[in-house]
Parts: sequence; structure tokens; C-alpha cells
Amino acid sequence: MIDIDEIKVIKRAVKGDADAFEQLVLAYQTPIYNLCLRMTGNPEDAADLSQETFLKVWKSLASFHFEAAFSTWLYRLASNTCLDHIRSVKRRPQLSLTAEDADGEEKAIDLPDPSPLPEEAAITKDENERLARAIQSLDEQHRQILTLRAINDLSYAEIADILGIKEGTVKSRLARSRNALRKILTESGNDAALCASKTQKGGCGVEV
Amino acid sequence: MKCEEYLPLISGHLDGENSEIEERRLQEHLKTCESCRALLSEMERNEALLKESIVAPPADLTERIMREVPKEKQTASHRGKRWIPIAASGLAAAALLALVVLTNLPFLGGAGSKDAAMAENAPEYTSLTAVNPAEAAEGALSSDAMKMYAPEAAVVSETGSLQYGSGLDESSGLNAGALPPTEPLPRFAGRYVQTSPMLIVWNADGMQALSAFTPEELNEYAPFSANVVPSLYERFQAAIPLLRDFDRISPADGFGITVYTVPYETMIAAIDECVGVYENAIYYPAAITTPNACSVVLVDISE
Repeated sequence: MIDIDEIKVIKRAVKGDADAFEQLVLAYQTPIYNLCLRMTGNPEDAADLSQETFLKVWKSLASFHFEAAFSTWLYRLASNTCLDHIRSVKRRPQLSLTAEDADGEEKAIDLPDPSPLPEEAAITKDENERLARAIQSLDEQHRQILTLRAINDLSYAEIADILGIKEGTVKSRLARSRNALRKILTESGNDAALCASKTQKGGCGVEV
Repeated sequence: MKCEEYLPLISGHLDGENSEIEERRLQEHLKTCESCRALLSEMERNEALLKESIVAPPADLTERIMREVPKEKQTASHRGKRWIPIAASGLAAAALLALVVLTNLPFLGGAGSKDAAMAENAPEYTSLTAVNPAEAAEGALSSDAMKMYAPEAAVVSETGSLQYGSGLDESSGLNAGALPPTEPLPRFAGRYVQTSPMLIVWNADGMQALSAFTPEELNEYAPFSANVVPSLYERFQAAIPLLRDFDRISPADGFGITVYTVPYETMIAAIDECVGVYENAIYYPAAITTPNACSVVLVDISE
């Protein structure tokens, strides 16, 4: 789909119009930030990488000629920026549900309180934290594709373009990723339940 | 089918990306399989969790980014560029189609001596395969990934001695894909006048994106550099529907056409080479995705 209004904004941005570029930032910062957050598991890194992505976009806009959808180009850039970052720090991305505040004190990150789903029990904050952990223990490929699909709601065709793989591969990789996530969540759910029962008898010593 | 084989279908169902047949097969299976029903509902719940977990970016993110962006207008570094390549990601049928539209090439077809003179003035151009008419007719081109349509070839076309596809070197694997024209089509009929060159590497999305602009907008858009002549723009628009079925285009349509088919592996190099000829053209290779072969089509939309 070609969004003519967006094309016009991009066109202005390509010519160096900072206001037009800001419009693009505003339109895309939420999915990009969430992509980075899921990829790194760390809000500070996510903000830095989002910034880095958009600045790369700004610098290379001159060479953007609508070869691909702008969003595809942007997601690919963000995705690669995250992977570069993850590989450069050469460690598993930190599972971080805490962040340092201004005084350098660790504090819990405010996860959004999800509103209850119609036919489901309310998703608790615990579940959300468990999910964040589970995602971080997925391998990069699985985390990346799940995020592109679930967080950014991209179609298989778009994901195929972004990752440079076939749509069939998108489908099978997503299925494997979902299954991997499901297994991790099931296990961690059991652990949490087990831990809760043990805690009453003196704690299980596992940080959850 | 085993239950695990339904996993991609369950996943596809969540995304609404199953085909009708897949969906029917899944629904049939779910009727009788309790564990797959349980799996589906578990995955639905996880999916909801994932979607619920979207957070707002830090409030100062936009500001942080914009701080690094100079407010003054950037001088368009490519203002002088005359070529715009578009290669998009949409896919027509099985093969990726890259289309190069040429109009009013910056050289004059004609006497060889003129070409030689042009060559001296345009080194980028001559770095391309120099096609000697005689050699071209014999198909004795060098084995580069792709042969660009060279001005000398245009000269040949005027004599009618060069047929379509004869520029392909069999030994270099250029014919790995489909779609070589079966019949010789007339090469570019007219002489080239150096005025308003435009190069477009195309597929469906890119062409559509371009056709969304008016000539005025195209002219305003820096890479076009005010070179879009209204009459040519009409030809360009007229060419779009024909080009979607480029392999069925006929001389009666009034467009000169040349097709090169290259294996996917060499496609980016091929298009790069093709684009590279035209001095300032920039091509973004990552935009090209998928299949096994692509065709680069040169279409002359000059009148």
C-alpha cells in the first residue's frame, strides 16, 4: 500500500525538512522503541537504539527513493541496529526489569497495567513481567520475528521484506517462535507456582 | 497429519495469514483435537499478552532525536542527479521484475565517432560493456554479470542487425531465469537526444509510488532535477500498465524494450551495474528480496 500523504512527508524530509522528519519520528517512534525494547530487554538501550536508528534514517534519507516502503526500510534499519548492538556487547541481552533512577538507585520499571481482556482473566502485572523475561530468553531470531509481528503488527509480506526471507519462512519461523515462547512461559509458570508454594515454607531462593 | 504439523496453521490463524484451504484443514482438525484447541487458546492468550505489552517510548525521545537534526534546510546533496532508480519489494508473479525505463539517453545514437567522443566525456558510461556492433551481433560480449544497454547497441538497433537478447552471454549464467523475449523486438527506434534522462528501476510498488506524483511534483523532487517533460510523463504513465506484462509487450505498443534475465545472486550486482552507468543514480540493494531470478527490462519511452 502506498500512502500518498506519507510519501509527501517523506519527500519533504528527503529534501532536508526537519519538521517533516519530526512527523516521521512521531509516527514511528512507538513501534521502533518497542522493537528495540524487545530486542534488548533494556529501556535505556532501547531509547539509545531508537535514537540511533532515527538518526541513521535522517542521514541516509537522501538515498531513499521509495525502493521499499519507508516503514520496511525503517524496521530493517532498527532491527539491524539492535542486532549490531546485541552482538557488539557480546552477551546475552540483560534481562532488566529495573532501571536506574537519577540517583543511580535501581527501581522497578513501570510496566503498563493492562486492561482486562473481554473473555480472559485480567492479565496481571506478574504475567507481563514473566512475558518480558520469556522473550529475553528466546534466541535473537525468534525474538525479532515475534516482535515484528506482535508488537508492530506487520504482515508476513512486510516481515519477509524486512528480514530478507521468504514468506513461507516467516510463517514457519513464527510458528516455532510462538511455540518456544509458549514452552518458556509454561515452564516459568510452573516455577512461579512452585516457588509460591515453597515460599510459605521458607522460600525457594529463586529470584523471580 | 500429526498435531505438530498444525502448529504453523495455528500460528497462521492467529495472524490471519492462512490460505482458505489451510484454514479449512485447521478447523477440521480442531473439531476433533482437544490438545490443539488448548494450544490455540494458549497461543491466543500469549498473543494478547504480547500486544498488551506495548509501552510508550520515553517522553523525551522525539526531542532527543530532533536535537541532533539541524533545523536549517539541508542542501539536497543529490540535486544535480538526473536518474532515479526505484526498486521496490512488491512481486509480480513468480519472478522479481526490475524495470529500467530509459528516456532520452544522454548521448546521441549515430556515427561511431560521435559515440567515441561521448565516451571520452562520460567515463562512467564507458565503464560499461562497450558493445561493438559486430561483436554484439555475435553475442560475443564480456562475461560481466549483466550487459547494459549501451549506446553503441542503440546504433546497432538502427541498422536492425542486433536482436533482442543477443547481448546475453550464455556462459555467464545470465539466462538462469525465465522470460527472455522469444521474438526479436525492434530495438530503440529513435535517436537519442540529450535532454531529459530518467532511469527507473521498477517493480509494482516503485512504479506506483512514482505514478502518484504529478510531473510538477516529480520536477520538484530533487532527484528528478526538473527533467520530467510533460509529454514524456504521459508516455511514462502509458507505459506502466503495459510494463506489468512486459513479456507480452509488442512493437505495436510503441515502446522499445530489452529484457535481461539474471540469476538472483547476481541481480543486485546487475542492477548496480546497470544503475551505476548513469552517473549519479543510487540504488538501494537491500530493497530487493526473494526469488530465483529477476529480469531487468529496459524500456524506451521516448517518442
